[in-house]
Amino acid sequence: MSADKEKLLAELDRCVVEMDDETVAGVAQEYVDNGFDAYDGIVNGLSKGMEKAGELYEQEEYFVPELLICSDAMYNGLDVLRPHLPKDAGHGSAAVVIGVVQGDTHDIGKNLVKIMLEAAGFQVYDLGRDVEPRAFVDKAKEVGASIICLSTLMTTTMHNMKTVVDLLREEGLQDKIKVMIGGGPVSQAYAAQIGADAYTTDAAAAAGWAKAAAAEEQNQ
Amino acid sequence: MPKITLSIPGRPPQSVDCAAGENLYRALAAHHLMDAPCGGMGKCGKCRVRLPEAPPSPLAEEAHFFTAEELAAGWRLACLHTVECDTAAELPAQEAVGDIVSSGLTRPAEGQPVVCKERTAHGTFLLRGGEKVLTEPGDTAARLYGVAVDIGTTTVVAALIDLYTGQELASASCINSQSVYGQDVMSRIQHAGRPGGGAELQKAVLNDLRALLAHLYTHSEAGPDDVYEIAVAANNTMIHLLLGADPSGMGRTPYRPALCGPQTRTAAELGLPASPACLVFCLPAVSAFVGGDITAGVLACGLDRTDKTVLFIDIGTNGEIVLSRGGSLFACSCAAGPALEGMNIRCGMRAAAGAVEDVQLSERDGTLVPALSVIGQSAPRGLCGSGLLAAIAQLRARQIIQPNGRLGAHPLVEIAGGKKRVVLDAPSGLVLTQNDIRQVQLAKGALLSGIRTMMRFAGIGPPDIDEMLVAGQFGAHLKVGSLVGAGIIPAALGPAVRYVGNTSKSGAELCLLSRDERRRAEEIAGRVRYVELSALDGYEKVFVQSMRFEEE
Repeated sequence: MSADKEKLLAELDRCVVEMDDETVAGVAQEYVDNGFDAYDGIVNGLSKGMEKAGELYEQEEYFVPELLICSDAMYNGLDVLRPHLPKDAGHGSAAVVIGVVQGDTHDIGKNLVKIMLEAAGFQVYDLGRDVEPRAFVDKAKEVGASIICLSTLMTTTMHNMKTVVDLLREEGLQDKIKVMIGGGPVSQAYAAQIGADAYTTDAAAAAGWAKAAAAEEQNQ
Repeated sequence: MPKITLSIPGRPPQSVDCAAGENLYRALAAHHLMDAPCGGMGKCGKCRVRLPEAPPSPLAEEAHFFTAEELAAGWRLACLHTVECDTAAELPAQEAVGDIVSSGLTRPAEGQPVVCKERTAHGTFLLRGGEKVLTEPGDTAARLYGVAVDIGTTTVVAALIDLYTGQELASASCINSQSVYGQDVMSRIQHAGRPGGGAELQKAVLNDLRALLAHLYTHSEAGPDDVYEIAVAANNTMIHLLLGADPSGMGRTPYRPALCGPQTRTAAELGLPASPACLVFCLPAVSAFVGGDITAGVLACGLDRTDKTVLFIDIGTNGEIVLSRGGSLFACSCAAGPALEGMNIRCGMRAAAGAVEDVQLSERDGTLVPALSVIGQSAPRGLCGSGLLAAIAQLRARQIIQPNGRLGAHPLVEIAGGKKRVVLDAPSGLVLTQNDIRQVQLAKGALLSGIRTMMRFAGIGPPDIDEMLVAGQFGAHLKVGSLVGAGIIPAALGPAVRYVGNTSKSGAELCLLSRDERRRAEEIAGRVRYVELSALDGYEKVFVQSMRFEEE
């Protein structure tokens, strides 16, 4: 790898983790102008920075605002690099369906998880908020997703997580499509109770679990 | 039937029976021996119990709440375990509940009374709106009373009022017995959806009201037959549960209540001891989450008729905010979450004996030392909301907490298990963790973003606000220095803060005394423009900015 490429990758990484959302587009432009591989720029530059941001979040050094500004930087860089990806890029990356369950409109937590999943290389299908249970299952089937992520902030709408798990079971998909839940009122105990595959406490942990689950699936 | 034999410090031993396989928390909560903010979901860690004999294997989430030594000693969360056979259990010392704020800012009632009496040769008539509704034998004209009630999610307050003079003759308060089913309105709505749940909740609050009425009758000259009106101000969930209405529509978007407008029932149908002619009037709500308690506050503080620009805030798990400016009224509700009440806070607890209610950092021999004020002068056991905010304000003022909420490098900051924390009191192990600060940032982000949004709708900034009224149980205990220092309200509003107390009850009193006040309450509820924050474009940005600790 050329010294220049290495230097620019490190700079993309730095821009994201240090929340430099203004410089990043220029760096990304310089990177593609040099003819360097866009895919590499994403994986070994922007995403790496976002993963570091996630680690800082887990260490409690960064919090929601920092993570969001880091993601602004990441997306600003992605806007420049994406048009230079080969057409078939994205093929082979695992798909995840995410959304806030029916009845709830609080989506900040869901948005954070989505960011970390994208940084981790997943193809994320975001159904938004107040999403009916069936829509999660239908979308996962349509795009061949192996993970569904469900979020809610309200005790009163938690039961819709169970409905999604039950729908998967009815269709015999529970081994093919894993369910991860998160949000204020839910817990490990609740995940166990409804038969969800995982409960994670924050966006970084969610991306970590998804990566491990995807890797395990590939090894099978 | 398994028996649970309990030992509780400072109390005689007792035992309770339960069904085999019953959840331990539910069994204890049913006897009012426990009440966990999360309602028994393994989230809050407040249902600590020690099972000295053959404790069940600890679960993963219990590791968050207990040290390895505690787990080895048999400490568990009651809500995560069931009772299969006779069990011995030790509970931590009980938290007595702190003072309940029962009075609030008010003004004289205006207009025509709701009920009055007329003495005639055929006995005494009770008139309501000019119509005769009851005849009592003899002369009872001197006896005309009503009861004003504030039903909070946590506490219930009732006051006996002389309807001739408007004077309060006695008042009584208690913890809302629904608390065992969860501390926030969402947990209650969820419980109401379980079979028989709604009836349980209704029974709990009606029992509370009966007990309070009985107290008022024994501590005054009035008896049940002398009470002709009861006026209730409460959040909308409490009103639904009181009247046996289905609250489930408020538990999901678009957050629609089943009841709309002021509600009237007879005391007889609710089983409340009062005159056979007594009616129960419930103040109208603005929306699902801006209830009759807030309508009452607007009424009592006269926000609907002021020339000033006034911001009114009731801080709780749900913070409600009203802004009055030039004849317009705006309101919103903020999901502040329970952090300010000690939930999800490592050493959090309620304002009770042993709770740290204030923290001061002072220089001693060149080092910074935290000085703690503890409720009941005992050893510190935990941080209540006011202590939590005071600690954060003090640490922020010394730049130990950075504008983004991070704990910086400082001798007071130590690292334990890779995470930062501030030791407030080493002997009792009282700490403030980085995560605690994050939880407060979420609460503060919700409240401050609500305030900012209200100002945006009115097209004004903090300097335009003449008065900042802080209402409610929780706000009454928060110092201006903490509210500003922890960044819950903009610094410019600090000097404008005025504590108005329980204005929910004040508003109920006004509606007890006058038909015109009731009409005015109804007009307020219809006039307030409710803003649903979670549906606003760009709200996320305001919320995130509001999480920062910084001056405007």
